[in-house]
Amino acid sequence: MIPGSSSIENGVLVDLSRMNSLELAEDESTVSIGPGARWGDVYLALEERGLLVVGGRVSSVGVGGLTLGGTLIDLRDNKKAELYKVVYLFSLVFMEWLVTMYEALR
Amino acid sequence: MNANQQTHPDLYYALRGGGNNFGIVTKFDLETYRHGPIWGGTSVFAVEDLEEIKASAGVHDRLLWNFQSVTIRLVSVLQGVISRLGFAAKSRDIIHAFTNLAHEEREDSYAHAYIFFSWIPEIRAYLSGTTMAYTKPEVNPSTLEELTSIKKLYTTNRVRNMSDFAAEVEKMNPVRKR
Repeated sequence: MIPGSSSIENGVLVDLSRMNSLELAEDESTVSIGPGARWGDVYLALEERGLLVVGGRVSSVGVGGLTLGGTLIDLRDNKKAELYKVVYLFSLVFMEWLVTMYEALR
Repeated sequence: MNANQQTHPDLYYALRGGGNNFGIVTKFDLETYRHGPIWGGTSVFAVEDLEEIKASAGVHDRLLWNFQSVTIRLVSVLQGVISRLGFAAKSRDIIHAFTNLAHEEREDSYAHAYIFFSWIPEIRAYLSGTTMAYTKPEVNPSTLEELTSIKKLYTTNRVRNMSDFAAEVEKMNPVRKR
């Protein structure tokens, strides 16, 4: 959790930068991109197959932030790297919890 | 859980532009397009009528014998020399070329452009330019002709892939200086 980094009071900021997978559908009509991927890497990977998606203009900008409409801080700050690892673990636990809750409520 | 136009459309609507407060998105499914190289780049202009505009706005740079003031004077002298040599552009022409793009008869969905007038504190000067893109490998497309014909100091216009253009804008806007 990074205090003061959320856009809502007492909110949390979850680092998803390592969820940067890129999976192209078999018919190549869609691509599944992890929220932590950055546009520069997405374009490079797709260009190999002559494909493109509508995305960001600056290569280091992340897919999740731009698509959902917002970003707050630079996650490449080395001083806070340890903290982000904790946040990442937390995010996995939190997502597992969300999935469990969803399954239970269904 | 999936959110799209058919399944959970309300959540889909809220997520797009709603910041990140409606859930954690673990995957984005984006539609792909068959696409080849595009034409585009950034051109930088020297603005020759900057002193006139500053004067008409009542802005006067008084020459004081300190580093900053001398730098301002040197830069403006340099801009004057560039103008005399015929390499400078009028800010009005830059703005007109840009606003003319919005005319309906010029509609061209392949064309994209923005112009900028930036204050560079390090050299105490204004920098003007344009970043253009044409999503076809067509050099100097006619839709953008008015902008491309403006006298420039340099340009990076070329035919390349999208990743190259994204890397270029990245270089011009370093992290923490955006």
